[in-house]
Amino acid sequence: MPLVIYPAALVRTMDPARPTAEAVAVQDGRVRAVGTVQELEGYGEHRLDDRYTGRVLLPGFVEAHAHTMGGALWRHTYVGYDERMSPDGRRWPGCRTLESVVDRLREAERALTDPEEPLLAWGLDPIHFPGERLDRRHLDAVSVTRPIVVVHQSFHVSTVSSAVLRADAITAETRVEGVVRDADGEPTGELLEPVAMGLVRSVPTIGRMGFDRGGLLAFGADARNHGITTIVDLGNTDLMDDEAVAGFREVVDDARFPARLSVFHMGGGLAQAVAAEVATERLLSLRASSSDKLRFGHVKLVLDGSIQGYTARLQPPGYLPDDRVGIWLIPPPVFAEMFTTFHRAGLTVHVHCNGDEATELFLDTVEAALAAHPRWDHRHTVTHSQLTTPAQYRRMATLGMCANVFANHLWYWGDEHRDLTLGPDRASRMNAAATALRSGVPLSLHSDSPVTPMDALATASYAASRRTRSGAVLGEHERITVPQALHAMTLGAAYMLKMDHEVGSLEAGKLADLAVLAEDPFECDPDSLREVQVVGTMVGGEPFTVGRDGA
Amino acid sequence: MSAGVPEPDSRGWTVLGGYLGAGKTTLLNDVLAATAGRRIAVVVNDFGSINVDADLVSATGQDTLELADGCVCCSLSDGMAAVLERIRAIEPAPEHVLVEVSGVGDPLAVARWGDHPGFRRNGVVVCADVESVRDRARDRWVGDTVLRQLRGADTVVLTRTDLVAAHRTEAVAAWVATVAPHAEVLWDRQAVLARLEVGYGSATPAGTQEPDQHLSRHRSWSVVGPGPVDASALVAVLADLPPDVVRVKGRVRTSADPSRWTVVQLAGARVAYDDGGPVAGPGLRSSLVVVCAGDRSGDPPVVGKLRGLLGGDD
Repeated sequence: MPLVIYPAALVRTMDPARPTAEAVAVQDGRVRAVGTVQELEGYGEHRLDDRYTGRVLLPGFVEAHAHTMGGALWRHTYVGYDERMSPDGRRWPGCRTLESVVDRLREAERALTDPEEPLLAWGLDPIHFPGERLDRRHLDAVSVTRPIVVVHQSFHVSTVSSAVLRADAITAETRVEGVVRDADGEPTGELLEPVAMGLVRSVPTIGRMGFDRGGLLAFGADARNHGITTIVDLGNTDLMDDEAVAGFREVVDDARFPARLSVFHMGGGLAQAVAAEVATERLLSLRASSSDKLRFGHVKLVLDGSIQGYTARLQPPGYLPDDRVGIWLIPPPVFAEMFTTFHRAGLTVHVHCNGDEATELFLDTVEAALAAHPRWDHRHTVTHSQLTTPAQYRRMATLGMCANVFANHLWYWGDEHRDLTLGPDRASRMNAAATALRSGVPLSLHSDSPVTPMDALATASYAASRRTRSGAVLGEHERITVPQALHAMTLGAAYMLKMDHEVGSLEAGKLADLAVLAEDPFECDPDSLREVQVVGTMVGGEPFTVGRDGA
Repeated sequence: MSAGVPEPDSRGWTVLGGYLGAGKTTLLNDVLAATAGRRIAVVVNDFGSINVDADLVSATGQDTLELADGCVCCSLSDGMAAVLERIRAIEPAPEHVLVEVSGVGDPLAVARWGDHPGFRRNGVVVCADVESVRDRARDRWVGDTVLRQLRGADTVVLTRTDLVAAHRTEAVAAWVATVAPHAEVLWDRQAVLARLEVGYGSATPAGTQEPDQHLSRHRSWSVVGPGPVDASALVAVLADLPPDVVRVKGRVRTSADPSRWTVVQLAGARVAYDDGGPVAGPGLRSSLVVVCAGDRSGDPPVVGKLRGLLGGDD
């Protein structure tokens, strides 16, 4: 394969030994060299490709905590408050009023040809409509006959139309807790929490289990549109199933799929897990079968719930309003057993810890496992790490652990954490990226898509600015610099996937994965970083354009 | 699908909770042994332990379903709704559903699903091991979880009372009454089973056998342990069973091949050992149920031997 030289306005390599360059030379899907065009022409027979003239090239971003479900949601109508781009590159303006929600639904309803087909929508966040509630009357104004279900952004609430209430016999007599009623005792259409949401049987639920080819394609496209070239499906329950694995291979190994994908095994906490011993054997064999683009072998465990749901496990002083302390999703002794099994087998485990008590249990478990089964370079990672304390970060450094911090929470729920769940002091300390770096803990940042949108520059921006929706800065001393945040979204994330020798920086011999940007993000202030336009990506030398399917 | 049509046959919905090792498995197996022949669906939601003797379930016309773990907080999975749908589809309809909640699960939260169409809420039973429950309630990690479970109970069942003096059991019962004042506290196993039978009573067709007739003639023991089990020692123990042992069933991991289950079954006068497929539950614990005829008090010798072999007494 010939050498191709891509001149650019600027190359930011994320390699401190050679931080900037004029151009990248690519051969056989890998970086041959970075340097001046003149230098690169000295590497022998070559072709100049000027498609990136005027663009700024960075290593492709790495999103180390997302879910393929984030792609599947786009089958349904988006009615969220913020503008978002669907995987096909179309921009969907935010629905800033309930009227605009109804308008968006009307538009989607007109596009449906089958009168029986239910209309599903997602992304509604009622926090933006104080004093108003979306109810069945809004939805009945869209259609009195078509079943309509709007799932809220929390995924813990849905609003349904009268057609759904009728079909599922949800009436004034229904006893189930969480069915919101009006003054006459009639259901308003709002259903709180899964017990009430589960009354809807006539319309399929918005998320579905099992391998989902279309969802995976959309997930890849979503990554491409945001300059992300390596994505993680953090916790898949289907890896024991040969058909699902074959499905992943067919989609991801296809040259048209625009990203590398690391599929973690969901080892416990949110799924009926297979035995850790059985999973380990399987994962070791899957890991050996990994390709350049599709990786297996890492494990995800879920220890606690969420802060906004008051289910994250908190150490004293706990939550702001009352003495709730959260819930465990795996009994501590069972967690220790599972973790130790994976650890002994040499696997890397990322553990969902939103609360600091969950982090504490994880650290105690790692410490005991390391004492019993010493192992270097394990890269076990606290993922979310929202309330990890400075003392815990110091222990994590000693134990060789990494932190993948949920920076998007600062923007999306920072005001609520300050005012409702934690209070200003603990909210200012949450998602402590600066403390992690001060402690020497390898750092990444994530979106947890579909919980928040997958958008690497926005995630970096939130960690650097720590600005909330109301405009306040939540914990100025935990801000990190824009270059630190971009490092976290490239090499930082690659490190905890054990891929930092292959991706995350532009160095000779590493995979030719690029994010193609319209301007230099290093020159942006933290807030405008998220406005930088992504033009496209390159994955293993293969160029991709935002909003367009691959060759 | 019959969504919207009222379902006449309300299935009782009983939730069984308690921390790890509290004795849920034993109680569940005792209930299944005592309700042999009746239509009972069992839903298990646990991490690791095999929970319930699958063979016992199928042998008595009962159905067992597995429930995905966890709260739905960070997942879009509709685990419990799907389980309800599967139970609705079972023909003929089960009279009752027994739901075993994970060791850190909140049984009261699971009980709310019993208000769904086609079901009838039938109470929350929480097991508490007399030897350990008070320590568990003070445990750094799970103390609040254990207390929340007890507070959500309609009935607290004290377990392993045969291992402690009566006054200690009574002291624990008094303590439970302070933690969960509205809950009924029971520990006599026959009383517990009778209590559960009462709970189920409304769905028992008139003229069928007395609910506790079976109970008065048989007792069962459940032995669970981490294994793997020495295969030849197991065969030796089960080769010479006294005539009052009428049933031995379960599945074990043996040292010969710990990655697969061996299904153990006493059929007639001999014990059969069959391959039970790959081990696909996370905790990999072996489990055997022994049923003896008569009102034997104390453990039969075979149970003690099996406990020794399985290496646990959960």
